[in-house]
Amino acid sequence: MDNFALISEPFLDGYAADFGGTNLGEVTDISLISVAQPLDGQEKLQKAAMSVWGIALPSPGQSNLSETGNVRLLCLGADTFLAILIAPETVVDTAKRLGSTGYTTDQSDNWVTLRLSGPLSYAALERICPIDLNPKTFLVGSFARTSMEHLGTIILKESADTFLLLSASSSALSFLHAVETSIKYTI
Amino acid sequence: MNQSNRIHAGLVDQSKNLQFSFNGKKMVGHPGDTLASALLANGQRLVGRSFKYHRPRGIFTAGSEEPNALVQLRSGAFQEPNTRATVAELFDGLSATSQNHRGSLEHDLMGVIDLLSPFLSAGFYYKTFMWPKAFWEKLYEPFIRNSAGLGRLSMLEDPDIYDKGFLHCDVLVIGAGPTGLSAALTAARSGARVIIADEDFLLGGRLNAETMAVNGMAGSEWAAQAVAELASMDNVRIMNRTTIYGSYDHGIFGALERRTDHLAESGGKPRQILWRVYSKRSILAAGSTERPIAFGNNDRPGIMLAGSVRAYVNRFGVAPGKDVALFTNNDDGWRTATDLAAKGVNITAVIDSRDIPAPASISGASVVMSGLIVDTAGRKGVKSLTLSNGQKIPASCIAVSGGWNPNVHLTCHQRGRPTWRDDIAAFVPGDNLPIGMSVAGAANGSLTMNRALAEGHDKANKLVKELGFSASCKAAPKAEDEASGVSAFWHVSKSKKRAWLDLQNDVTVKDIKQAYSEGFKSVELAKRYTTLGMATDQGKTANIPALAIMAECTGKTIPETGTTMFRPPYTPIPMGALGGRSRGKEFRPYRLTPSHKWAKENGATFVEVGNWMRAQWFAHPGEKGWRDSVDREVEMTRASVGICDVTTLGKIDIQGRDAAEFLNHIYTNAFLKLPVGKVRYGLMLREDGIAYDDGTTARLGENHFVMTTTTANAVLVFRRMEFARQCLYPNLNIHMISTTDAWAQYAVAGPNSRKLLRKVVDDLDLSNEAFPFMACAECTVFGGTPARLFRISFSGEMAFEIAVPARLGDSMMRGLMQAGEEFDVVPYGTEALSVMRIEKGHAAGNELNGQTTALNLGLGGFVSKKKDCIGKTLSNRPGLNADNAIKLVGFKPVDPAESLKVGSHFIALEKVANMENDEGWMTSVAYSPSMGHSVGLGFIERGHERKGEIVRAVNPAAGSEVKVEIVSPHFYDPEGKLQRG
Repeated sequence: MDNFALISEPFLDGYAADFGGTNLGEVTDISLISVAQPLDGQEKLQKAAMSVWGIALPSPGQSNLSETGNVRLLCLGADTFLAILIAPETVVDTAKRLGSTGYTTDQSDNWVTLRLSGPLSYAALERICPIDLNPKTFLVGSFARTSMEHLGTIILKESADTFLLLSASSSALSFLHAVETSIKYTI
Repeated sequence: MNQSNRIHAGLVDQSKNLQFSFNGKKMVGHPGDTLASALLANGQRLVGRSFKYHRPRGIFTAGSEEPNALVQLRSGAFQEPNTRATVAELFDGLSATSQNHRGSLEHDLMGVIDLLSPFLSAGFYYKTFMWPKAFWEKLYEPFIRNSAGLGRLSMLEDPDIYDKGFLHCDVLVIGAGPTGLSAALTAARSGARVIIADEDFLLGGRLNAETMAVNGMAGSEWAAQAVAELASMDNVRIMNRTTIYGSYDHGIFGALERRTDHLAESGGKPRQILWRVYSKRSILAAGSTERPIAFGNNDRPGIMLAGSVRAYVNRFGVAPGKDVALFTNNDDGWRTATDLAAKGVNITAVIDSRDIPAPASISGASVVMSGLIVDTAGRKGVKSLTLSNGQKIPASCIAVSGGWNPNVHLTCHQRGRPTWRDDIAAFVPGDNLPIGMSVAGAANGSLTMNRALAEGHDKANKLVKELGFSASCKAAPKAEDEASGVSAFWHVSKSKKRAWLDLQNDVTVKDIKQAYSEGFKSVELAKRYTTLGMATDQGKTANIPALAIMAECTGKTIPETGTTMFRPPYTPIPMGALGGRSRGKEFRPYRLTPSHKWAKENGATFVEVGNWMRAQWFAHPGEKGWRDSVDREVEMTRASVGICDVTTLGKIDIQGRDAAEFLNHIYTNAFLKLPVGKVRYGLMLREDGIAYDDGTTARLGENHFVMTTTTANAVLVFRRMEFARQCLYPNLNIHMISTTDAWAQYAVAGPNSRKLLRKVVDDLDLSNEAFPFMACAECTVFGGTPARLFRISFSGEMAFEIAVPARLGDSMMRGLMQAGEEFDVVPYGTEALSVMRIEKGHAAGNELNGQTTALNLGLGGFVSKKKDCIGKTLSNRPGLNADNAIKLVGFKPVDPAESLKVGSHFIALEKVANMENDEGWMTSVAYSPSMGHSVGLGFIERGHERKGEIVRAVNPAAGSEVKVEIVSPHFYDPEGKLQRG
């Protein structure tokens, strides 16, 4: 069918809203790839990570950011990593460059990503996030896996009052409702 | 009404007026008032009727322990019954009504019940309504239901909104009285993160109700300073109007914050927030609750707890009566007399049950030591009291103090048991406290102001040191150590009149004694027999006196007699707060398929499948019901081609050098030699040999598989496989990750499915030779978009499933439909999907119900004899392999016009329909447009050997009985030629 081309549509139509200086928006310019460490393959994957991104493998619960700022690698478990990529980094290219040093799976469409930033971000998250976001312990670059309003979530602190929130793409509307409602109830 | 009882004292702002109404009467109060203090100020002593006997009742306390003054607040949909007037903060426009009366509050027609009280003692329900038996349903129950209950619901949806949240701290201070404020200051000064919570809107607790000085200033002034200092510290969160209602595991507490209850309108914000508080340490500084002494007719409006009377005078600037009498067994009661006298309130008498010299002299008051009140008078409010010597003393308010009970409730929420202290005649927290909890101040039995302040300070210092902070070097605040002697005295046994213990449930001393005499000798049983300690106040003022009466009956001490178990919540929590924001459409999260928007545009009716919203069918104009739509979708799919969104199936990406071996363990059938480019059906067993899921797994590469699971079990299968990977086979080199949401997947089924897909898929030979049944491939569609194609069939037709990244899913659906136009393609929903799978005889959730084995399902051959797998050993149990085991077979009605009912049980023709003759049950039924009659799947004993036999499908619940013939489960294309074609 020459007259038809598939169109990629963000899960939340690129939602963006400003709540008096606190902003919530869908992040559409990133891609995600999971990287699993083969059995006894830590050394090889460590070398590959240094070679491909110039960053070391983080320990569980930690994340490392590449010097370019285009790759953030999160260690989700003992042998499981999630890389958040910003162009020009791509999933296909990353998988190729890592080769057999890690098992890779494209996760870009598995997750919907929201960015919450601004003065009300802490107060809003207090309503749905069971994690202790104390700025003295949950530092910039820290992340945690948790659930918000029954939805599995990865929360990553990007800067002082900016958080990246990843949840399952099929329940994107429920997740947006959860975060949006929290902000509205907090204002 | 004017404020006849208002005096110029206290902490309310008497310069500003707040208008409110009670039973329609306009009244005036001030900021800082509770509804109770404002009612008392306006001379309103009668505020409600008692639960059982409809006796006139007034305000009894000044706190959350209130058993009497329950009112309905607000109106219309906002109406809330059983609100304690003593904790309802007054606001301008507040509207309250009394409850539990028929007719007016003053002339309650149900008051006649009080005359029948001799017949209505403890347990009368159980004795009276036993006979005649026929009266129960028609007479007794309707009458009781009509009479029972306090307050009335509006029967309208609650328009308020509620929320929940999570808080974290190093130290949680529960209560902001002298102990709590002292503890919070100490902990906060060390740098620890502190949350201090109090149910009151004004922090300070008894500091606001007493006249003792702290650090040389008024207690309320010191409290205000302490709060100001705490508020200035960024490591402190102050939560007034917040009740810590429950103590849970690992330092977790439940808290209810009342955000807008003190406002006329909530302004679109949550009325209340239910917090879960995570603490490293906690200090229970919940204070204590005064208890009454039971004497004849001690329930009349105007008879109150002495400490509460003091609070109304000192904090609220209200004298609860013009002439007040005191009845006490302790020194604290005397302070009420001295405080009231100092404010100019007339004290008519101080009656002390103790045989000691009078601790003080009160100007103008009779002092009666070793005195006892035996009766009171005054129908709608107390007017006088009678002593045991017959002397009558006028009193419009009787302030009673029987001593103070430490509020140990939260120490008991994890089965901690309090211990008895004779010196204060009260229970104090035991040793088995919740993890991380310390108890200080009055809650710990330290009942004087100075000891409370010091204990709060010292315990906080100890806790912060445990957490690695430096203890505060500031000294504890100082106050005088007031007299606090008490002599246990629970009730006036000389009273001939009813002496009330539990004002909320109308339980008397006599009721407890009667319960004991009837054999209810355990405290827990007596509680349930008499209803003492139930309802909104949970017996906060009644439990210990009742326990003392029970101890008298048993001849044991109070601690030997026992105590009741305290459970959360400490005070009532509205159901709305428990629900939080989970209501309506957002009651729980929902998941949408990638084609949801398209389906909505095309008339889909949706059905909830787990959290997923799936298209159930697509109605066309002129169709008279869902059956018309479903029949059409089936017929057109079988005639040409249909498309169904099957994204909801679980998808698990499995990679690794040992992936094939791992799957060999997970599935009952062999996967080791599955060729690349092929798909295989697989069955999974639980460890006990019962089948729990099935699906297909495709081998995309030597070390790369993609598994599909049933929609319902997607998470369960992943969890079990991850357990197997980490714990059972840790030496296998594999990894798995869910990709359920990553791919939009569509079934394209029907004889024209190949033709349709040839227009969509780029450069892939889809001929039967090149891409046969159970083939798979990674390919591209619509000119280069990566996709995955599987030739699998759930419908029995030649069929494919094609997957693209989820964000392309909507577009893909539109593309497939456009490509199928020339074939009259139809979308089909879950109903048509189900009809076709039943016609084909595929097992689904109804058959894989957690009770059935591979053998039962007719899949015994799928359990490989050549290899091991999870569940294989126990699947060989003799009990699961009996000769008469049930087998999955098909059923068709003997009369094709009859429809089948799912859940019917199979009974032989000549036998009675009972459990003894039950041979199996119908699991799935559908009307089959392909067959022209109903078809069913089900399990019946030795089904595979009984084809052609007629049995009855009996469904007593649906009132149906249908003769059915046992047939093959494969109604449609039993040889499978079509799907392979």
